[in-house]
Amino acid sequence: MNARANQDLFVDIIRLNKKLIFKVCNGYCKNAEDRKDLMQEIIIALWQSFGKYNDHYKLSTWMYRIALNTSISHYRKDRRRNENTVPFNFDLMELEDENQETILDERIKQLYDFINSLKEMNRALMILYLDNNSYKDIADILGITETNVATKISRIKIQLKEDFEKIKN
Amino acid sequence: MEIDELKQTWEAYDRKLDKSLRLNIQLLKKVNFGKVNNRATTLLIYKILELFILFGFFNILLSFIVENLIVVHLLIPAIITISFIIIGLVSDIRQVILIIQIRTNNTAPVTSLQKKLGKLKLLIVNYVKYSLLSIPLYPILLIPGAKIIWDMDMWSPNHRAYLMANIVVGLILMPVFLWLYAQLGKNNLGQLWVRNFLSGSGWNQANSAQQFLTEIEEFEKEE
Repeated sequence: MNARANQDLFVDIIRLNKKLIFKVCNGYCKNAEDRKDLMQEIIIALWQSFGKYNDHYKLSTWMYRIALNTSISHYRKDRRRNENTVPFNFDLMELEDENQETILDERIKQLYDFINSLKEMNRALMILYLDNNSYKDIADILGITETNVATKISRIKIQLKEDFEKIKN
Repeated sequence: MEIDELKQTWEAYDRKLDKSLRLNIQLLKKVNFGKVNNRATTLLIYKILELFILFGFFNILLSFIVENLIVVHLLIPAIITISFIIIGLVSDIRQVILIIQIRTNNTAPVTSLQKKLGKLKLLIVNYVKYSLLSIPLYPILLIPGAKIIWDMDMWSPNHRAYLMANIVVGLILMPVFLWLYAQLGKNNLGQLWVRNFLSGSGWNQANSAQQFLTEIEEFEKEE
């Protein structure tokens, strides 16, 4: 496959999976500018390993691993700007609503507040769980056992219940 | 809110994104991906260069030791110096191995890759920390250094005063650096002045990397 065709294929894959990238970014960055940077970092990281993609893995597993690894590293890094990001004048992904906040209604905000309150690894687990991935896939993406996934999810469920009870009271 | 409600909200959000999220394909196609640098590659080149330089010093000092096996006043400082170089070499080799593993397998499971990144950060910070701690021992390096470069014996009567002056400076610096090293203990991190004083030393980064490694290990544990 020539370079042009390869790039076109990559763009198609990103287009088809844009929601995955967007949701992971939102889980690790509250600030819009930061999110824009993270989105670029993830797309660049995906491109860098695109040539090495092994169809032994599911495409979504490959994308989640890179997106989550990049997000966790970005989140843990200090605030300095990443020298590798390409300075874009526009967002790579845009919400068509003029006011982006309209889409993030109260419940979605509450949901992201909860996700943001979790530690980095549990946050990844929760995003994967909410995105309807099977326990087997979650275990594969995170590198832990299925039993461990189940235990952690049930623990998060309890924490969630307690947190909302506190808010209610 | 129960987990099922969360899932429903997430699904509604997913549907909304389906309708309203737009990828700027034109912009994405314009990105010259070929020119994107890879931080891991840059770090790897830097570390390999460092490894070559250290290996060069190691070879020179090793030859010096072999040549001066019976000259005790030169042999001991050379052995101390080469020990520091060996520590540096071992740390550099471990760093290079980790960087290669990270570069070649950046699609590894999240816990595995994050652990490697945490270990690498810790190694780099500790390497810098121990390099700083070796500063008061610089007069020891002067002895084989002067002999190798200028064929000058620092113990000879002509240079002994200069060597002694440097040893005194090193000895004065020693307690300061030992005290600093002792302050790097976790027990003192609660004190504001220690945290402020050490904020630029990389200790905070090392501490944070160590905490994260512990977190990952906890996360991996079967419960």
